[in-house]
Amino acid sequence: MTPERFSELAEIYGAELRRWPEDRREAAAAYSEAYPEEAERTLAAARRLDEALDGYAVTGPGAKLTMAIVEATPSFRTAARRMQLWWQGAGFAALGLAGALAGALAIALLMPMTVPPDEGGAYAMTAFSDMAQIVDE
Amino acid sequence: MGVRAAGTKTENGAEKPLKSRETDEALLARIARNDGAAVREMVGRKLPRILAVAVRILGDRVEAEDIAQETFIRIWRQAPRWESGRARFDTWLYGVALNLCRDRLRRRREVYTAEPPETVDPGPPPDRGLEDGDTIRTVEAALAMLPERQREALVLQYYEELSNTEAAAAMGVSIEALESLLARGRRNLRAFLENTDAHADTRD
Repeated sequence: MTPERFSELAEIYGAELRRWPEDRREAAAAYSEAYPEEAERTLAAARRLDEALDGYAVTGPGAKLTMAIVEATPSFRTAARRMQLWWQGAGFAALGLAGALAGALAIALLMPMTVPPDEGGAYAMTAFSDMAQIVDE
Repeated sequence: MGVRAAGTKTENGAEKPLKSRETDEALLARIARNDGAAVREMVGRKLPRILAVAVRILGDRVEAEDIAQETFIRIWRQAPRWESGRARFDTWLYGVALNLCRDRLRRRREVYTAEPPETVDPGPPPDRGLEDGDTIRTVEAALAMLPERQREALVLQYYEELSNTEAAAAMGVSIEALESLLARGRRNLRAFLENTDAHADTRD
């Protein structure tokens, strides 16, 4: 590798050989070994810029963003829809049960609690009403 | 990550563990089958990278988060259609994120400004990032001053450590064009930062 090419590659890819094209690294390392001072001089300028670039770190994603992305997946939406349907079903069932209870309560309140004596006495509204008739006879 | 989606359950109800370092393609196949564990793994692997690319290209965290969300929507849509061996997933992914960033920058230009200059103005940089000497702000300002393609090339090659072939493919340019963008980008950055240092020295 010529000094010019070495310098050119440092200008393009920076001071770290691991960022250089794979097929140039071996030749670049050989050049650095053969001419350490020249190589170091060339790389020093590139390294200063690399160090400045390294100072620009980006904070990782927060939980809110991560959650929003996961919630946008088809699997999450399907699961959420299933859950929604389950709750809707449970809601309808609860509504039905409440209606039935209200109906039962209304019937209980509206129906007479006692039976007039002339309709068979205490047995008239029970399974023993026939028995009551037999006893009377 | 602390976020759970519907996952794949085994017979005893336990979530199916991910194989150690599955390929992206294998994960995509599982995502296509609505595998929640694969979704979480993909988000864990790619979100920090995509977010960092968008932040550095756009210089705006909120917009970058929008881009990250939109990129992942594209992944979820693409998963059932992904053809193994056709393209490298990362190349496709970076390409999607770059295109979304370009759209965003185009809209910004349409709304706020005319075309940015093709070369960096070596004059005094804006005060932002100079008064406090904050390295992040200084480099952020320097990157923001670069023409769009030079910035993209630097972000992919330097920060993302993509090979020249991968970076060129993601940007849709030749390797020669990529190298030219990188060389000009680094030259412009150095000029900007040296100017910033000189400016800061005179202020001190």
